[in-house]
Amino acid sequence: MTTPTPTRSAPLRRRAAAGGAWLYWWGGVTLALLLYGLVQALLLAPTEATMGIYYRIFYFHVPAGITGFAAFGVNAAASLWYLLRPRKAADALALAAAETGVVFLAVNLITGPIWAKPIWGVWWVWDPRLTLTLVIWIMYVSYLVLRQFTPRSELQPRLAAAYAMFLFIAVPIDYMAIRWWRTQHPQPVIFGGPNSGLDPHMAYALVVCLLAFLALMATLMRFRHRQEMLSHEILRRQRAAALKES
Amino acid sequence: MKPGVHTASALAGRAPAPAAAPARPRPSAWRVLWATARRDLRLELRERDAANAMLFYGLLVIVIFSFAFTAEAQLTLRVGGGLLWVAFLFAGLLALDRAFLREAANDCLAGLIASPAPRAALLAGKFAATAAMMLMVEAVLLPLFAVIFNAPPAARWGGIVLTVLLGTWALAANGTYFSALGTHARQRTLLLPLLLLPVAVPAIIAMVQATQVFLAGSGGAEFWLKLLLGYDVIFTALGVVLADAVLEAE
Amino acid sequence: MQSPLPHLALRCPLPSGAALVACRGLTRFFGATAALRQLDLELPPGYLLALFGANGAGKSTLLRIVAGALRPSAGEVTVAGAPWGSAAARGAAGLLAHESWLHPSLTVAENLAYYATLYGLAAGAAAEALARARGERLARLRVGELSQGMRQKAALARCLLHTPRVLLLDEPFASLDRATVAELQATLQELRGAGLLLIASTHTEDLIAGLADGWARLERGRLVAASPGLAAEAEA
Repeated sequence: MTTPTPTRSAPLRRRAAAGGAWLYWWGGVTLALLLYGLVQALLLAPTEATMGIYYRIFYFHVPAGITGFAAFGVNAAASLWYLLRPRKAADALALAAAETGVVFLAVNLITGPIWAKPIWGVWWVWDPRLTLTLVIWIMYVSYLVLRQFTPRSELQPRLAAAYAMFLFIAVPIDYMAIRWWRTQHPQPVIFGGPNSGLDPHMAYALVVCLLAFLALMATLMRFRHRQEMLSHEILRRQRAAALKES
Repeated sequence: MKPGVHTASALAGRAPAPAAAPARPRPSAWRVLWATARRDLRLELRERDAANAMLFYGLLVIVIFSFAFTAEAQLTLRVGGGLLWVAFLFAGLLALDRAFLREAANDCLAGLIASPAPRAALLAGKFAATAAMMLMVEAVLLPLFAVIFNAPPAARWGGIVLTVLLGTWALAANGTYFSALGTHARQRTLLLPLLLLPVAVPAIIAMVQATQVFLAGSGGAEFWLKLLLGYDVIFTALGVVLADAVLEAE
Repeated sequence: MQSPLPHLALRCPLPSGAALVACRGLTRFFGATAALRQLDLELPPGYLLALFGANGAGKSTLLRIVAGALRPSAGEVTVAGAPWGSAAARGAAGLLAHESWLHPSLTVAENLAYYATLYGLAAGAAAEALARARGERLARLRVGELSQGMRQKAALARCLLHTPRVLLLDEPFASLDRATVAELQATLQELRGAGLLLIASTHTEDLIAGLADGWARLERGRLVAASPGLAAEAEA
């Protein structure tokens, strides 16, 4: 434990601006990737034989799903980090990752039914992968609710990190339980059998979109992380001022 | 008062304090577990608010279900397991909520936290008491369910009882932990189901499926029972390992 | 501009070396509000410190932290040489808080027997502690049915159960009648004689005046005054 000291007090505005350059650069790269991915996915990639134009949503559906799960992985790692070594940065990362993951998985869950209605004829089916995705999305919404309901204190990050461990361990058990039902979801075609290969141009467009989404995830996460760290910094300064006042 | 004078004389005239700290007994985890479980059960028997509410609530759920879906043998064969566990789950949430809400009286929670007792033992004791409470209520609800929903004659009750034991373990283990986790939160009563249900999904699937299989008297329950047992062991261990994170001074 | 509060450190001349309670730079925040501000404190065994201060000065916060029921935001705390939060530090302190920490639906004896287990003691310790707190008659009564004074005695027995080396008392005389106050005063004197360190917070200063070895005053989370011989100006 260290005493919050009022030293090193660069003006908050300057400190906030200092990390901003990264955001501009990274945000610019992300934007360029997203635009390029959009052009590839909607205009340049060939139209799929059976599904027609509807299939194009999978350039957003699949990357959003992968990105969401990646963010939850970051949340688990950051939470474990916090339990082993309680650092504000770890907690801020866990929160940023959970929020980002919930957003991306929400995109995945919304784009899925939009595709499913014309192709399967229904909005939603309780197939394993859909169910698992929905359950995991709900789990991390619960995590955010817990953080919302717990007053901000030294204890809050520990409670959240402990709950994150429960969530992370529940995922594989969920997978086993849910897999026991029959699947209706299109099987992954990228690494499938000899006839199920993806057209090279389609694969290229998909990789571009995936990179764009991952870059977007990094930007959003970094943005939220900085926000959290700045709000910690504000609290630290308020506390330092409270220590000094007579 | 003249503190200065007082201090000098007081320090000179006092019997010397014991030089070394006397060896303090270490609280035994098993004794703490046992004492906590006994105390909570005694409190429950004395106050009886949770037990009565649980029984009545569980009964209500079963009765409302029988109105919502006409209770006939065919229906029980198809969805009986689900109905049974929804009733058990709702009733169980009342007991789980009480597990740590009980310590709000006279700030007893502060006493637990300020004591040197191992946190995992405190949690495990609360788990044991809550699980026992839930099982007692379920023991009454299960026959009622069998009667009201005309349980099929082929049903294998031994298997159902085993499923109830494993399923209650799953709900009580995580529920107790989350009840402790919620003690620091606002709206804690609201929070508990929000925390428990998402994590309990695989356990709920397993207990419902296993019960369904046993009700119909068909085969294929081994996978679900194994999954449930695995879930119980893993999450009980996780709760023990992470006990220090929730029962902690604010 | 207001004149700044003096910043004092409390150092009692130690008769037998080690301090029983030592705080260095102890600070506690609630949100952005500072409840305790960089407190320095060293107190020996066999000593009774009276802690004065208005409501919200930080008395309860200090006592709860030393007892292990509240976490320090910054700084070091040791109790009987053990760092804050360790089982040894927890086992060495007892706090008579505003609330009794006894469950209202259990009898005094049941409550104490449970606490005995939590501290790793045999059940016989409960009756012994009750005798030391002069509350033998209370054993079979439920805590919820006790009067204010009886509840205070039962709670005192709870603090004494594990023979703590540091006894912390938060407003021990609040809403007690004269007879009970006198009894409690006698008990405290006895305990100090037995080598305990006692820290009692109060805003009724006269009740502790003849009893205490020294006093200190908290104001807005800081030690602002103390009896001579106890206080040293904190090094900047």
